[in-house]
Amino acid sequence: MHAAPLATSWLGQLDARARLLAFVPALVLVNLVGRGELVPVALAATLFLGLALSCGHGALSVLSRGLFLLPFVLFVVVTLPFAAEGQALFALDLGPLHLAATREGLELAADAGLRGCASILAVLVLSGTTEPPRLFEGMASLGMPRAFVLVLSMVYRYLFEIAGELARVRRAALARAFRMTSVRAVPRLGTMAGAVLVRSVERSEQVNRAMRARGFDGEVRTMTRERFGPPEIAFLALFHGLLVVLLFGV
Amino acid sequence: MHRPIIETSDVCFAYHDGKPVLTGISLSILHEDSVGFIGPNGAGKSTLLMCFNGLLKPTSGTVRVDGLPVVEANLKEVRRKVGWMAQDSNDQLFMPTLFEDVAFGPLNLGLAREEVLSRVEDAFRQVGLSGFADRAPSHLSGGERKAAAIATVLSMRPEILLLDEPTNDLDHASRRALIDLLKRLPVTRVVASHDLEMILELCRRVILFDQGRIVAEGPTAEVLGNETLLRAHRLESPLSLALRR
Repeated sequence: MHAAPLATSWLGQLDARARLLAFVPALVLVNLVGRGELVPVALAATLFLGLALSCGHGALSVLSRGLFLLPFVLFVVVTLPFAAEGQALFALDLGPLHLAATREGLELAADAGLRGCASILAVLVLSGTTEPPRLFEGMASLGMPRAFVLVLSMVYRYLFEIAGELARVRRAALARAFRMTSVRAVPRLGTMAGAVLVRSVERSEQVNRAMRARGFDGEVRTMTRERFGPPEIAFLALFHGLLVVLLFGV
Repeated sequence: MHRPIIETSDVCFAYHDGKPVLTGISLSILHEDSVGFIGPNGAGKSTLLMCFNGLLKPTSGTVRVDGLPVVEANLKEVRRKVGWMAQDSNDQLFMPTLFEDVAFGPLNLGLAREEVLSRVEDAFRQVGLSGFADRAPSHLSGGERKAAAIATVLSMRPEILLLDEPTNDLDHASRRALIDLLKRLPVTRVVASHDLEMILELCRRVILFDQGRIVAEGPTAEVLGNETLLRAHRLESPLSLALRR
């Protein structure tokens, strides 16, 4: 359930708020750099990659998660050259479809692809070094609405329970010769999903009771065990200093 | 032991469909007593436990906890005194880590950070889960999950513990550990269960419910030894009692 292989690394040991304050603004900054500024964005991506690799064992497993997101970036990179107007470079004739790639389109594709990769790397380092519960704790103590953070925590907590529920319903159906692949199965699948939904509603009522029994009155109270000290301040100063220099050449 | 800590007078309750679940329940539970609620499915045991904590409001009649009427204005104090544990530990453990779950109640009581930390640590120690604070509920065994669920209630330092089917889904070793843990807790215990062996071991007194009414009450061994009475209400005498005869 806790999916942060780098949580015990030097970066993972820092207060979760320090990582949030580093990588969330970094995502914004990477996308604020002027269009066509490929080198600064590539340097920022290298910084994020370097940080991941400096965390040692587990870095590759974290980076490999990015492979699931790469197809989306690739789709944008492949289609953009044909979507922008400008100086034609080459053309593709696909039956009735005539597609012309332009220099402006190619530049746009490279720019979007690089920003996409840099953003994915930043998110991977943040999620790979921070267990979700610590992330939620950090978000709450940084002033994010507590009700929102509580809902997010509960979604995370029960996502696995609902997946387990679905698996049990599926197993029960398969045990009674139900074929998932048949077209006739579609209405039944709808009914099964409905059954899981009804069970989830019942569970939410029980959880609500358990919360009220422990004094919950609608106001969300949280407490953080994180400690924001000199190492966090030093990390943030170095990280943002370097990032600004790389991106804006200041 | 002689001071009543829970008192109900003519409590009736019906859910939205109007079907009566509890009818004319009047009882008294003494301070530091250990009482078992037994009866067939749908007898109203769990519903009555929820009325004690103010989770459900009786349609008529009154519930008092330590002399305090269980009404909206007193709910905070009532819930500080009365710890209720859900039947399914998954409903009780709703936060991503055990620490957050065990700290949830004390935070709602408005306690200071240091006091919350000390209570959380204490509760973990009492249930034998020291060092489990950062674990996720889904990473625990059934027995550990049940112990953690009890810790979420103990951190509120309740005077009364309401347990709904605490031994459900536990293997023998976990069930034994749970019974031993409950025996050690210096609080008033009200346990609703079908596990009559556990009731026999844990409770000094039992109340037998059927169709929302109290049909018998008395010392545990006496009620559980009455086979005719139990059979009439779809129950069976615990094997250990039958063997003793």
